[in-house]
Amino acid sequence: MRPVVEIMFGDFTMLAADQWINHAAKFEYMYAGQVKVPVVIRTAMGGKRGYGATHSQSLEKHLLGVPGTRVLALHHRFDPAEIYSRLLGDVVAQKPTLVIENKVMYGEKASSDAPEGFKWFHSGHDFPISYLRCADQPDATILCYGGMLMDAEKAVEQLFSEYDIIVEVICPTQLYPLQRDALIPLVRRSNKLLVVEEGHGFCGYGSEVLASLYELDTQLKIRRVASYPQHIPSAKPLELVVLPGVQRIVSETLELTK
Amino acid sequence: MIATTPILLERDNVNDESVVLVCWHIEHGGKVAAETLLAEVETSKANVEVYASVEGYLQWAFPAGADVPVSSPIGYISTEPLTGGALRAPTKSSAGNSTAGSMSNGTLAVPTATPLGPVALVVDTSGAAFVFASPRQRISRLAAKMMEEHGLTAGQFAGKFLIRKQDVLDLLNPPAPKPPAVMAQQASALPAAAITQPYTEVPLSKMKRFEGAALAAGVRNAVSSAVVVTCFTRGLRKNLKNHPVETGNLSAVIVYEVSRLLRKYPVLNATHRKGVMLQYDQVNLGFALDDGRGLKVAVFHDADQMSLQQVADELLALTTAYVQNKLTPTQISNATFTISDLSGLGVSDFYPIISENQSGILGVSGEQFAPGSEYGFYTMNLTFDHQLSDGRTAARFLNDLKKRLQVYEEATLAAI
Repeated sequence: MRPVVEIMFGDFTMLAADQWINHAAKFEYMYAGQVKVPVVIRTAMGGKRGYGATHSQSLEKHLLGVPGTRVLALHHRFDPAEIYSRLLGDVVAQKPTLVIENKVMYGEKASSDAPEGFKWFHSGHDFPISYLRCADQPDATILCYGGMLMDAEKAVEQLFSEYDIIVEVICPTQLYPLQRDALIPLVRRSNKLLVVEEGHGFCGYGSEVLASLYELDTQLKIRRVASYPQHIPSAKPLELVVLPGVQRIVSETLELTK
Repeated sequence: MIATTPILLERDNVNDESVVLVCWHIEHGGKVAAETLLAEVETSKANVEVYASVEGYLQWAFPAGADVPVSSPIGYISTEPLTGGALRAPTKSSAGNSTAGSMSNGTLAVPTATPLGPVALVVDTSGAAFVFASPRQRISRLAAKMMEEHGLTAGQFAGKFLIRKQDVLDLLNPPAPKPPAVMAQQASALPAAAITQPYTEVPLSKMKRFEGAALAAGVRNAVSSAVVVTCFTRGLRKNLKNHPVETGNLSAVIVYEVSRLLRKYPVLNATHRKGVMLQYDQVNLGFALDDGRGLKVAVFHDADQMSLQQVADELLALTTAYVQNKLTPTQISNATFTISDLSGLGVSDFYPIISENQSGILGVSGEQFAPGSEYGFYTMNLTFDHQLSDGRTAARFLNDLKKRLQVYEEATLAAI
């Protein structure tokens, strides 16, 4: 029996931040391993639905890096049901786990369809890294998670057909702890890495990934895309400008491959 | 309504992105019951049998002999008999088209996690072993325009999946051949001299290619050196067999003793990475098996925790599994040291090669007797990574082992 809590809008996870950071994360440590806290919090993050400033954010960066916890982000190229079945089974370590679901993906059907010429692969980790590969040498690699994967895939299509550029995609399910050593060989296929995240970029997931990977390989050329540093407007056309989308991924990739 | 169930392969190790579909046991369109043996596939580590999960009619997605991406279904089981176009079995040339259609049916790839805990992701960056089911090519807008201008067709870009401007330019003005790299990345990638004699190409099996790549990786990572000791004997192998208490065999004794000695010599239970020694926490002893059907290294996990009897039992279990071709990926993974015993082949001395991610391998040769003499000798050869240890350590290890084996010999002789 595992407690699973759903917080309908991720914006409100912060109300439970104290329980998460000071209690759930620390109980096992403070009670010398006598107790486990296998709680799962699933919550919907992300915008592009016109829900306004307090119901559209991607706040997971504030909860990344708390020792003793795990943060996952679901995407549509690896069966979310499989992730939950592993999470609620007995195989993986029992620890507080935050699962990020993206609102725009609720209407999407999960499948391993890939753009023509590409194919999806999944690593053997408990919470796998999915990666979109092509048989030819890629010019750049996009690393993203959750809802941004849909935009990244569209950007891959556009970059090839319109700009003659081959881009591979890496989409980890597990955001924290970072599977750094497993990511680096995937990134080295092109040595050019664009990290895309929907939340604000300052001190974000992208910053940490780029710093960690660059420490392993200073030959990498790196760039990142995140939300502009401002609140999310309710007006959808404005919201789409503030949040990263296909066009920004395309233009940043073009910059990266210059 | 016809329901189809995809036949998915379990991803049994992270090295494989594709497997070879060795044979089908059931005809295309044939009726199958649940749990029927459907096919056999060859991964880089083992041959795996594929069974039906449900009852129905089998539809092949690939013909026998095809290289199948691990996440693609090798076929489908439908609830109704196949009719019309579906009845035609896929051929090698049509396999791609039919699977391209079926792969986009929204089938989900759910690879199984390996049971060995966290797994490092191994990615083949050469692209050589990377096979796509779909041979359809895709042409970028720029490339399409240039191809039209120069009257080129997609067929001229065989082997390319994504055709770009540069590919068109390369076809029009072939680039000068690159000078051979000074240090080849792989033994198989060494620039080979032109062959002037007539020859026949014999494709190597996936298993042999994997073995070659693993050995080449071991050679690249280690600076090999070797030490040999000669052990005098009055027939240790025979005596052990006849011993009333320890009715074991020499191989089990050597596995048992070496696994304990590796705790004393941790530099031999390690591997080298960029100026750092990675010492393994466990002693997983690999034992090379080859009776002519392909080399496999069966692994005694936590060998130093096993009793001699447990080692002997495990050796029997592993060799039986090998002979029956039923070694599981777990049974041949994660060795930290290897023993190669060629004593049964009448070898007097040999030079074994250190495997990937290891720092030593012990070679055991056969006992040699002069005609008519009860005294003979055999040699043991330790190949070690000189980056981590040295000749002196290797010699001490071998002499320790020699002494321990002598104790067995004395004990068995005393008992007879």
